[in-house]
Amino acid sequence: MKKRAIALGLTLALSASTLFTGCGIVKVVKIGEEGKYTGNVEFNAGDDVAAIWEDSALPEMNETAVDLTEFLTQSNGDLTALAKDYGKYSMGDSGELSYVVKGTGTVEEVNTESQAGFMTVKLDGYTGSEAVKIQIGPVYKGSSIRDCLSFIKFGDYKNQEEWAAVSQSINKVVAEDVVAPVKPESLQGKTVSFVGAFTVSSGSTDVLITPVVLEAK
Amino acid sequence: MKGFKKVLAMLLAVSMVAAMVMGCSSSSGDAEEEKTEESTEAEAPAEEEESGSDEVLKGGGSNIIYVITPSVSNPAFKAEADTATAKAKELGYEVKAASHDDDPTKQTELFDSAIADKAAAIICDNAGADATVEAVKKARDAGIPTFLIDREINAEGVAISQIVANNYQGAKAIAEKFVEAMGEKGKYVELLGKESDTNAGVRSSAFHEVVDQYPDMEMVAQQTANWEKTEAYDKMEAMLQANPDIEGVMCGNDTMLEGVCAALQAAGKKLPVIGVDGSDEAAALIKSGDATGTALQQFAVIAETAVVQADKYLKEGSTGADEKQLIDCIAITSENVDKLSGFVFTE
Repeated sequence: MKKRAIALGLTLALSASTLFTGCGIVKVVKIGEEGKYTGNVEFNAGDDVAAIWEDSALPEMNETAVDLTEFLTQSNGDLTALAKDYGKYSMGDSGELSYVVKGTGTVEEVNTESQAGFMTVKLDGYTGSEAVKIQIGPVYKGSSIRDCLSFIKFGDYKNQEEWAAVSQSINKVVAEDVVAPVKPESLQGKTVSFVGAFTVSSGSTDVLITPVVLEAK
Repeated sequence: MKGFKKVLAMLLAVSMVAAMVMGCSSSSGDAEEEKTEESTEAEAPAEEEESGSDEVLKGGGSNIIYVITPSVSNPAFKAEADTATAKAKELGYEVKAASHDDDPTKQTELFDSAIADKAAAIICDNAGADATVEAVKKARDAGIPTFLIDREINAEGVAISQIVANNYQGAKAIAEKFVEAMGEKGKYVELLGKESDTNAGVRSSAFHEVVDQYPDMEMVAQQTANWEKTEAYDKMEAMLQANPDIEGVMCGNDTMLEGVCAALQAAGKKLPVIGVDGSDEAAALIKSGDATGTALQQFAVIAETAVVQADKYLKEGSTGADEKQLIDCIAITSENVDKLSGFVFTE
């Protein structure tokens, strides 16, 4: 009887010491469900952007866009002048400076020679020297739209490649859903209205806008 | 005999249970003991270990900050190590600086030394996004906070800060200049960095995100030169022989850019060449027209930010910033190269 009790105790102790090695309680995780426990859910920038575009990105940009004619008039040649009022820096208070803008104007030139194609727009009611360009692809430069959105940030992504993939996906949506439907090559001389984002580039006063809304009148 | 067996069995059972319990408690026991004299900050010993990522680390107990970087034969990492060292000394710390030479094993040894030295904090430009996680965890278990600079790791909640150079953005920005300089068309070659370094891949994919969108840009060769100048020279020489009609070169960093420009000079050629880092050597080549541009990684800014945050964290228990922080690169071309000196861009 005593022997049995001892054997039992021994077995228990043995199994316990095996089970609890590493001090954690062993947990069996099914293949494919690791993400639930580690938080490393497989990343898919495409899905991510589809989910935010209609519900969050467009409404926010429509709401925060500043009128480009007024903006340029007030800036008076210095595109960083209104950073505090309307701009968003990529690193808090430094780094690349982006703005969300809107406006109406006449298309003066449609450049499709470069892969990074653009339209030059003469803004209604503005005579300043800055060149206002709207990107029409197929190559889109920069990440202005991503960098303007308030609700996504680098820290939410695993690394800088995934962070970059978000911008690529955004630019893809722009190409397919914003630019392609208006047939930019046919817009020479027409009036267009737009909402979009641009990033101030050092050493140039060009305003190169990536559109999120583009309509021909 | 029966009695002996019983005693033996009991002993065995007891020792097994004891082993289980000991295995768990020894680490926190050590950590408690390590909080001894010589500490300038960190008065209260860490209450209980393993309370997750919100727990405030007090430092190992000494006043030493470890600065661990890749080889300082690359002027970029030298600038980084020197800036971090100077700032830490200025803030009253003793500094031990060492290089892991991009070897994760060596890096682990350096982390072990830091733990043995009861370091107050570790500043590290790491030797591998996955390989580094364990080392940082180990330091964390010893109460030592790690502040990662330049390169990130594939885990969050382990290091206190990851102050990351936005290689992707920088490489992309300078690739756009490269395409412009090539007139959006032509044959080009690419020299890659050391494969084990995450940034070699990051920079290359950023280059290609831009360049591959141009159908008339054709890559005729892609080779690694392991970040090294002489290797880049030799590879470039060989590639020129195989493809005499090369019209441009993309380099993963500036030391390889130097080697490439030297090889091109020797062959009597001047082509669009880009690099990444923003070294003074690259700046000189941009000024002379031998190179098109580079992307400045603001090493000095990054290193100094990390030390300031480490100091703040040790004194106040928080850096006041997100764990992951991106520091932008600046595209340097002949237009703004005059503002670059010693990895610092002055607007």
